[in-house]
Amino acid sequence: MEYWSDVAIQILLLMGLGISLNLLLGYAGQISMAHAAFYGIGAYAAALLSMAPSITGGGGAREVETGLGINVWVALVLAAIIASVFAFMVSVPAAVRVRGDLLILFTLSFQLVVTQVMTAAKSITSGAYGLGPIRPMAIGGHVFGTAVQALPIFVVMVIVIGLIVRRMGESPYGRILKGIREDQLAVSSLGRNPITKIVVTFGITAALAAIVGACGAYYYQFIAPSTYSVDTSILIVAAIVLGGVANIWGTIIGAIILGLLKPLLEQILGGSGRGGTAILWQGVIYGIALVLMMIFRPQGILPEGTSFRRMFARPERREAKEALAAAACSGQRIHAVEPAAVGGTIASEQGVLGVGGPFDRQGGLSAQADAAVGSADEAETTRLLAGEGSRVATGKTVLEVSGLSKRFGGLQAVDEVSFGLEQGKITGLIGPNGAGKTTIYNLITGALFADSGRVVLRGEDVTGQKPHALVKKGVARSFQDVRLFSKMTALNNVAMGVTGQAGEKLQNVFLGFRRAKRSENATVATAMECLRAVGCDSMASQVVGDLSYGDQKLVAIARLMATGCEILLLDEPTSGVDPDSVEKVIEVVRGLRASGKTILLIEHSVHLIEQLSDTVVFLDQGRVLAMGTMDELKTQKELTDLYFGT
Amino acid sequence: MTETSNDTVLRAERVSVAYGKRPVLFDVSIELRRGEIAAILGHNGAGKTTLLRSIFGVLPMRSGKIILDGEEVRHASGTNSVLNGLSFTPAEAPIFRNLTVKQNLELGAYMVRDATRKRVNLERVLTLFPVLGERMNEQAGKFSGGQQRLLSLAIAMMTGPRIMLLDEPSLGIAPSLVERIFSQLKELVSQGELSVLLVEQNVRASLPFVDRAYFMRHGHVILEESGERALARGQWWDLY
Amino acid sequence: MNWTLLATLAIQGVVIGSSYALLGAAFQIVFATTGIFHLAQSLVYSGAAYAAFCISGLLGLPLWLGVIVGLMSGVIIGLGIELGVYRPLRRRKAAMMGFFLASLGVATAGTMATQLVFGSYQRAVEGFPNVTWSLGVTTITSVQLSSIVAGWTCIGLLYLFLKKSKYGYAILGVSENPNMAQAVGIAPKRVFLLVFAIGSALASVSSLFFTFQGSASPTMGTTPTLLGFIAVFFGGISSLPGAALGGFILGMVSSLSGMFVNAKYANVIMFGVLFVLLIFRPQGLFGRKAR
Repeated sequence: MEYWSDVAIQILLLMGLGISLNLLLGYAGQISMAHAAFYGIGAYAAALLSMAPSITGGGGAREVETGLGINVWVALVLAAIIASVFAFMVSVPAAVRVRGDLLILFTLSFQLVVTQVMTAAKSITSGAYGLGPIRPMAIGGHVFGTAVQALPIFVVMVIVIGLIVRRMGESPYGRILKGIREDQLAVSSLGRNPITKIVVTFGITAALAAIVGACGAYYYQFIAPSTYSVDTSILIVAAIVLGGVANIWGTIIGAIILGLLKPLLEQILGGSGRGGTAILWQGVIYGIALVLMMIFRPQGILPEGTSFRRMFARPERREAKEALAAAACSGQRIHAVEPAAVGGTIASEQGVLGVGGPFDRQGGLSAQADAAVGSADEAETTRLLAGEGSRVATGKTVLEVSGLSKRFGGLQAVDEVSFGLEQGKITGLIGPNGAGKTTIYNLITGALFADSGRVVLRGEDVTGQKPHALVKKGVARSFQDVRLFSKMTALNNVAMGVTGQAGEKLQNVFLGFRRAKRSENATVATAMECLRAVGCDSMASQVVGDLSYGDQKLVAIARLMATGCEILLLDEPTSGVDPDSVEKVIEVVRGLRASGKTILLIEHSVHLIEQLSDTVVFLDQGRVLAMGTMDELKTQKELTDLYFGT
Repeated sequence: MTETSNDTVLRAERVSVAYGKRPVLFDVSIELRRGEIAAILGHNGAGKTTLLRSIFGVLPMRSGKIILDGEEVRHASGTNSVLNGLSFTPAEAPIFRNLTVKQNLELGAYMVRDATRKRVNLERVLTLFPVLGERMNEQAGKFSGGQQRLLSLAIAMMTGPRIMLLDEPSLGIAPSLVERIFSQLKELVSQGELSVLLVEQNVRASLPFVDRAYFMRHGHVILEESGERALARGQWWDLY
Repeated sequence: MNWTLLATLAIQGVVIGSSYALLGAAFQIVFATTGIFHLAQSLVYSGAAYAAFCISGLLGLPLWLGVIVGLMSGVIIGLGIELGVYRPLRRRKAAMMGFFLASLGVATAGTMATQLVFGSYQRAVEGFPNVTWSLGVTTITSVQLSSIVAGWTCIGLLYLFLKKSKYGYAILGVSENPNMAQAVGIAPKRVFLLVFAIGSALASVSSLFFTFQGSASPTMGTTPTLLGFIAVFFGGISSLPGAALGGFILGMVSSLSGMFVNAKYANVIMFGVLFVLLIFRPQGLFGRKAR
């Protein structure tokens, strides 16, 4: 009993480590090789803080009295904090530079260094000999000393970590992490700062690992550096990858399989197994398994998004869910409105229909969903597109660019560019390849820093402000290469566009529970409207990577609409799109203009520019050569010469 | 007037290409005849470069085939294309910037086994572009845009190709040099064994030297006509 | 001023630095050409040493034979990994994480398997002529000197190969401009094989000399491989001389730091230096700035 309880605890330790790392690796897509290091920092910190004062060192090292005798639970919390401080240190440089390879390097180096310090700082940690005796966990008089006694604690630990990670991962906050995993640039262009999210997530992950470490230290009552080595980091990664990234049940399965390997091997191999070959065989097996999985099934045993509930959900329940989403749309407005105004209705609707779980859109709905079926008609759609009352084109310049310049080494990419966008009109931006059009978008949105010149938005100088700040002020852009999050559903992609979501703030994820839920409902409603406006509502729950390119472009526009921004910079919305979808895109863009949006449009096909633009800016080699309607420009000889050569 | 029999050295038949989900070419068919210069023109993003790369064999096609001298190309790859007598010159970064001119030219002749042929090609190239001979050991990246473009053509010619595929040969060059390049190409083609298929943005500069032109828009070929007739139009806004 | 200590540490620094330079070069050429974080290089490293051990240690055959077999084994292992693991991944268009984790898997499985077969104790490879020469206040052994000479000779030969030979600049071409390389008919697949062979050979040389000065153990490859990475990022991803120099500097720094700090913390110092450098200069000491 004791033996198997001990095995179970080992598995639970691996589970806890795997689930916590999954938040960073699986959801946010950041590779960290240092998880065992944080595990170890937690263990050693908790041990040194909570041990009764005793002599460490020896064996040639200075003998020192360590151990502060702090309460085990307090020490646990302190250990978690210490780990997260180290985590910030390690993650900030790589996150700021947006370089995954640097993160691998830093975390790998950090991992090795930590193990070395643990071994080398003999006087404090007793080096390779190990540190102990560590006090076991206790509540009141009850001590959790033996394996059987400590088992429930570890079960609770895993459940708590699991719930924390699941709540974070499946919340709007987690949605951003998944976005970061695929495309950090797109995430920042939607108004979120990926760096803070990465760093914070890294810190939380490390803290959770430290908690596991502390519990482990208290249980084993004796710890050594070899437990927290790079091999352990690799084992943890293997558990996640084998089981399934971004899938907590997958990690649980992965941990069980890997955790059982050693005991099973020990049984099979007998004496030599227990003597150490079991660990070696374990390593060989999961090493080979890693290679095979990466080649043949990189998504893991349980791919992301699978959950047992979903696998067994009855068909009619799924339809009911979509019906609810459609119903939730009626009477809603484009912008993410104050949850209070809207939330009440939604909450009660859902109350009646008995939706399960806070962010569980996959959960079952009761059959009463029939009552909620309904869909808005065309007039509704137009009204929705209009936002807070239709805006008529006023002739006012809402966005003004003056003297914008940018140089890349020897090339003057943008040269004293000045033009203005009139409110409610579509301005086309046209010019030969390399004329600097996309660079101008980057300069306006702040993705690039201009050498000189100003960007003025409704009278306010916003030059150089970052993309996410611009989005909050009402300027958003699309990308030539779409940049949707291909592993997410269309609904989630568009939902990412909605600004001001309460569920993206961590405090709401855990504490402001109801506020987050209401905000999420409003967000879903908004997202569905936008999808309907581009004619893609039927694809709401489809993974975007499976959609045709034309539909993807439409979803990307819907995502842009969801930001509620008044000024939209579109980058080749019809390139690569089949002729039928081109018609749809034209229609949608015209619709946006009708609702009062101000649009800047890059397109290569003169044909298209003619159909859509009110005025055109002609750019060549970074300079504005002419402005006017397409007809006017066509008559200018210099432009024809430039476009078609001399 | 399409004489496709012996005179066609290269034909792309109903080629469709997509990048993942994104379709770029829809059922495109073009051909290149012996001893001619043909051009593919059209707006950015129309699929011109994609077509060229598919012909060269470095882009997988969803459907369609490439026919070389009457025989279908079965195992498409850059290596096989060069062995079959094709050369390809990309529009951007058409040289190895960090290598010297000499190294660039040697790489151009990478697939040429015969040392004599290599020498002959080198002499020919240096005769055509003497400026390269003067700066053999200089790093190619230090050259001006125009000189880099000349080097890119030299590299292509080092393989001694029968068919040259050129992507925007006039990109980044001064107009006078552009004319020189095009007339040089015309000269080479008229001498015999060379046929050229080029993609161009500079419609006005290239059309005078072009025998036939294809216009593409949104992944389709919308028009094929003789160079003369295309040039006579004067402006091409409605084709773009 | 403890001159003896300084001189000894300096000599050690040159030895270690030359070893890191070699590892840096090995890693750089693979990374720059294929873009892969070739962690599995640790298996090449230990494989070469153990092969030499089998020949010279177990079978008692002459040392030069062991060296040859060791080198060949390292190269074979490296090529095997490219053919058996990386190529299938490339065919399936795997992401960077896939390559990285697979490489990790190979390294782990390989290290553990080595330990299963050979046991965890150190294995010495005897036979290298060991003479000690005096250098003023300190000494240098023939093994140390040979390793320095061998290391830099290899780096030098590789540098010349890259600059002078057709296949050499084919490698440079592929890593600088894969599009253009394809355009002149170079088959990237073949170049990758060449690059892995070269990288493995360099790593094997480093490993063999390490073994002559000490011994082989199953986990011997882990730290050197990481040091190879660090050297590359420190010196500059795009430059072979940069990576080699970066490795050398790191080796000297970590050794000389023993003047001021306990030698056990050498790696910590190195990591610290790397960290600070990359914050301010992410392209490394000699690297080119990415756009």
